[in-house]
Amino acid sequence: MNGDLSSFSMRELFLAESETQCCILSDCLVALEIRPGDHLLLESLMRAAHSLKGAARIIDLDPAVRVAHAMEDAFVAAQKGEVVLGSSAIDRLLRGVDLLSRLASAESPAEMQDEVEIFVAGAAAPEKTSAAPAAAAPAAESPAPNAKAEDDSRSLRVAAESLDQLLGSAGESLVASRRIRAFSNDFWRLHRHQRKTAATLENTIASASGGGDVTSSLRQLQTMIESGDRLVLTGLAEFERFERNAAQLSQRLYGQALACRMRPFGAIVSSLRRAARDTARILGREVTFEVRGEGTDVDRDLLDSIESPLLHLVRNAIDHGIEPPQARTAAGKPAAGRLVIEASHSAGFLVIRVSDDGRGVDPADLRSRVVAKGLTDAGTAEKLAVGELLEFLFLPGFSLRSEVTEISGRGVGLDVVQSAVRESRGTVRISSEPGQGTAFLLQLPISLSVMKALVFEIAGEPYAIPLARVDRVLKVLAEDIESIEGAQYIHVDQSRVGIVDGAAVLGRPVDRDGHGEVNVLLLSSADGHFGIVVCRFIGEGEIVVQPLDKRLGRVRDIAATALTEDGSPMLLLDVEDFLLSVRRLAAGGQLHGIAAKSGGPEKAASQILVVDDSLTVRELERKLLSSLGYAVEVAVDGMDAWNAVRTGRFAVVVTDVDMPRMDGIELARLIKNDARLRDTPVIIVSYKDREEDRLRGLDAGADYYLTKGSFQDEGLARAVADVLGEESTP
Amino acid sequence: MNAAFFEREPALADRERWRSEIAAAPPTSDHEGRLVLFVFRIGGERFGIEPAHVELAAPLPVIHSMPHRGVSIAGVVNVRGGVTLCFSLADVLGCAPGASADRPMLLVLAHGGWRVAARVDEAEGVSAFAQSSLQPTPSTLQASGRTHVKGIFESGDGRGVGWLDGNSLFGAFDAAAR
Repeated sequence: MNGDLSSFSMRELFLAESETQCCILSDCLVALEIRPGDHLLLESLMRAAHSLKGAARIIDLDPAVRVAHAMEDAFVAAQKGEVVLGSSAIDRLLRGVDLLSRLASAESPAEMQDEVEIFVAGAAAPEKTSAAPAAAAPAAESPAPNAKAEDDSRSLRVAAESLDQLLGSAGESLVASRRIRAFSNDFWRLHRHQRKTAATLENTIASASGGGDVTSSLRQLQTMIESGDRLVLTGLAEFERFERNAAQLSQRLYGQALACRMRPFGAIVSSLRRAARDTARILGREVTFEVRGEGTDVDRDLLDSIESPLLHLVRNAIDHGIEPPQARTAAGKPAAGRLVIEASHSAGFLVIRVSDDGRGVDPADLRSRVVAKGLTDAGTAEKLAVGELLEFLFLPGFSLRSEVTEISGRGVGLDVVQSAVRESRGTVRISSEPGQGTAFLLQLPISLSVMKALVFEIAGEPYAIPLARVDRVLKVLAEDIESIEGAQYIHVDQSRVGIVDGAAVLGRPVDRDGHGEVNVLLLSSADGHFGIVVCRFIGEGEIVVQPLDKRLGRVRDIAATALTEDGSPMLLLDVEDFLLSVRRLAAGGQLHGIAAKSGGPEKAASQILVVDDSLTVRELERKLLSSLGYAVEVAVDGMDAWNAVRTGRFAVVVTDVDMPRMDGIELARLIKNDARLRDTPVIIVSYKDREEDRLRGLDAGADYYLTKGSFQDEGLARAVADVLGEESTP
Repeated sequence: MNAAFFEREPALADRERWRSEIAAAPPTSDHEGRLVLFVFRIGGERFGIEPAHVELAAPLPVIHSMPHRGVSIAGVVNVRGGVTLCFSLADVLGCAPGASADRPMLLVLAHGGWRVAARVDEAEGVSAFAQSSLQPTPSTLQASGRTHVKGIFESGDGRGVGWLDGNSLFGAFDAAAR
């Protein structure tokens, strides 16, 4: 085998081992700070450093050998009682752990020689620890994130137990498949028996037509038929048993294969604990860090992608939430703040709650900050509900504190958390009680590939919808459907629920005859319930989600595909998108693409699409532009907008940047990359007023980048007139 | 046969040879230098494509339609457990679909790592054509600029077979998907 290849794979092995050992080192060091001199901890630390040293030696990674060796020495000295590892020593040793993990993944470890020398020199003099401040260490503050290979050939670490179980089941399946052979033997035996019976029957007919006595032959035939029947029954019983086992086995295989994708939530806890400890130490806070639900299974890809938003929330909670000890004592709280992270499965979702018992967010203070930043005027700010107000915290560059600390100086805000969570198809909400604390609630899919779904038929074809999004299913008599101004509704628990035909929403032929029972799926969105009429319900179960062909781009109302139990393809509805389409239909058929009001006076005016997820901003823009004589349609987010823009009816698109599902940047990019739509001007209107945000928008192809203050100074009106080539604004 | 045979590491030379054999494109011409094409029929028109592009030809499975999309996308089908985009070749190639097909088939075509399915009215299988019998496409077709046919072969029974250009056809699939 090729020499390069072998050293590459050894390197990968080392990387895997260093991840494990660094986790142990980091966990035990943090624990050691609370229980100084604990022998069991020191023992584990010593062993981890020792193993790492050995492994580094095998792959000739000399710098790592030296770092691990220096750490081992420090632990041995502490074991012997020669030194006491205080907080600053632990700081330094933790930096050593960082150094090790960076060395393990570094392309050229030799370049880090200086850092290694500084560390080794420092570690060799542990008694001087208290005199050496943290600043003496090199800037090892932000370890280079391991560039995670995106390709499918990456190696995964799977718990040995999971793999063993999977192998066991696969072996069983192999044995089971050999048993099928026995059934074909049974069939052959039965076939021979039938032939014999047929031959006997023929002889009997011959002798009967010759006038002979056939009674004994008939008796013989009777026996043969009965024994043939027994053959069939025995085979059948055997076959049914086999079928049951095979079904169970397949189910098990599937579950075990799935388990290989899962990791316990606890796998990322050590880095969170470490972040909490480091942050608290730098900021002079006392924090008890608590984790609940460490055993909660999480899809490994998801776990990777939520680690950094969680790290950020932990730092944020200590930096902005938990007060300094004196302030806490003065407020009658215990000096040590509590930071709790809870993970659990709830209603088919992974729910992670990060809460602290710190100062919370003062609505009045936040309101004045929002106004001071020019994000809105004082009048509007007064009207904002607390929930709406808290949403401002997710804007880039928006920080609760005015001082720049080492932590907030990292230049990342809660906007990063929000976009990371949205990328994983999740949501993040914030709630806060002034003086009592703040909580962030993350709701995420348990797996990116498997979900519980309700399967039903629309226009004779199977569709699925995430079970968590279904309120109820019911059957109503066609006679019980009433209508008002052309909109149909039914009564559910004393309230009227508008219903629409699922086939109409999807643009499939409607095949309901208006008699008998009608199947209705109840869904709800932020602004109410909707009933969807479907052909029939097929059932609920776990489906394995497969993405749509990438080249298809986005398909309105459709999120992904899957296979039914019998292997037919089905489509998974995009609930948000679908509800939007439903809402339009229910509101009286104002469906995009349907040429309503064609030939009307509005035709003459230029069509403008206004895209914003905030109702207030949307309405403001709509009114402003309508008053200038433009025909305006609205969309509530990028994806909604993209579906509308594709029809090619719009002269201008005015869009916000931060929106769920698809942001304005992506929308602009899609429009500008489409040969047919490329010439449609895109105007971005955003709260984000930093230069890099502007550049990002213009890079994506936007023709204008305006900030939301532009409503007042007519910037928007001018921009629209400009891109439409009008000489003067009306 | 003993189990040890299978457990043995194959010799390096064998592995190298296997790798090159697997990596090599399937032959597109037979021993007489004739071009080998996979021939199928849509309505009254016959087309041929290099067998390298054809991964599978199977009886037509259930096709699930795709809402809000044009006629060139027939929907999605299950191809060996993977949900695959299925095109209406009649629409992409702009030919009249047959009134009814006795043996409709699904072709799974691949090009440059992209795999798609397409419904055809009949799959005739692989035939060889002499390069000398290749005729240019009618000038009317060339003028339209929409043709995906490189030329026309005459098959044994005297009917024409349009030689499809894989690049161009997949370009058309790509355009139809968007």
